Amino acid sequence: MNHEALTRLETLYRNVGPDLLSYLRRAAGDLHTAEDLLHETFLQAARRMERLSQAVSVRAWLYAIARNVAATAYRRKRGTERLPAELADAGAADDPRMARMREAIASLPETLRETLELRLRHELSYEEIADVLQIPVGTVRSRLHHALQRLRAALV
Amino acid sequence: MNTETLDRLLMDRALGALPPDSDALLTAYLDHDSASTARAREFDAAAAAARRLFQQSASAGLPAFPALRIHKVEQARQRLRVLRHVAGIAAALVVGLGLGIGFSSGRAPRAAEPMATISYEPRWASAAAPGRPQQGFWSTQRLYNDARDARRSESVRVIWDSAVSLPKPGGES
Repeated sequence: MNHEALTRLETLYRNVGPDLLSYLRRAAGDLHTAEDLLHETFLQAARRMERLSQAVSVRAWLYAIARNVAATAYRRKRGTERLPAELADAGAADDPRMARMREAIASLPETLRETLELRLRHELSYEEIADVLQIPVGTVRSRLHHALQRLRAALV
Repeated sequence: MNTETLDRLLMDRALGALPPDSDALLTAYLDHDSASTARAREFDAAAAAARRLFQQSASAGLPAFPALRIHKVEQARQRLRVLRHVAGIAAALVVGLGLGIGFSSGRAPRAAEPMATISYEPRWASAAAPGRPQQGFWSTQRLYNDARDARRSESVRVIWDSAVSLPKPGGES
């Protein structure tokens, strides 16, 4: 890898790294593992720089790598705690509506919750989410609509 | 607009994924439909609450960029690439050498075997005619040979000495 590519990767790390870290933290369960996974993500990215041009966007490309890295680590570990534990810290204890919402999010199937998180927390477009999850855009839209309908039902 | 289509648009809007022109059209439509406006508020509230929960979770400081690790991994990859290249060439040489030795130590090509000779003799000439001996003055073979020789001696020579003239019968051969 030449110096220019390394500099580009470092810029990406500074710009997208914080979002990726929070994404990986949710996937890994703890910060220390998430940091390791983030480094692993950028190591993998350095190996696959030539495939960057084929991605929908740089962010989607990095998220896709991070997701694969997290999935591999998860398969090795088997059974880290996921989103509900993290959302419990979200400071919604005194608001019953937010408490209901937290429970509703926690009760969503993993596929819907992950898609919703990529949209609402990481603000990826439908196309980018489709690229990260390797599913059609129509499926992304359908998952998001299902998730939102369930959350709405929890609030009403 | 039917409820299903409207809900899809409302949800896309609540998720912030509706294009601005579609958003403007939808807003204009909702101004005249109070029931749909209430549904739109519910979707917006659900999306906003979920967004708040997702974004409130603790953010951590970014660890240092692993430049050294990337550099080391890249060096290892380059070494591996060179090694693979060398191994490929070595394998090709070994295969080539093996084939060469195999060909040179193989059997020498066999001498061409003589082709089968086909001889023809009329059946009547070789078949033993009843009442005639196989050899000797009265044999069928001798009579056949005599007849053949006599025919040859009677053949006429053809003279064709020019490409523009017709062949002419010449003297006896």
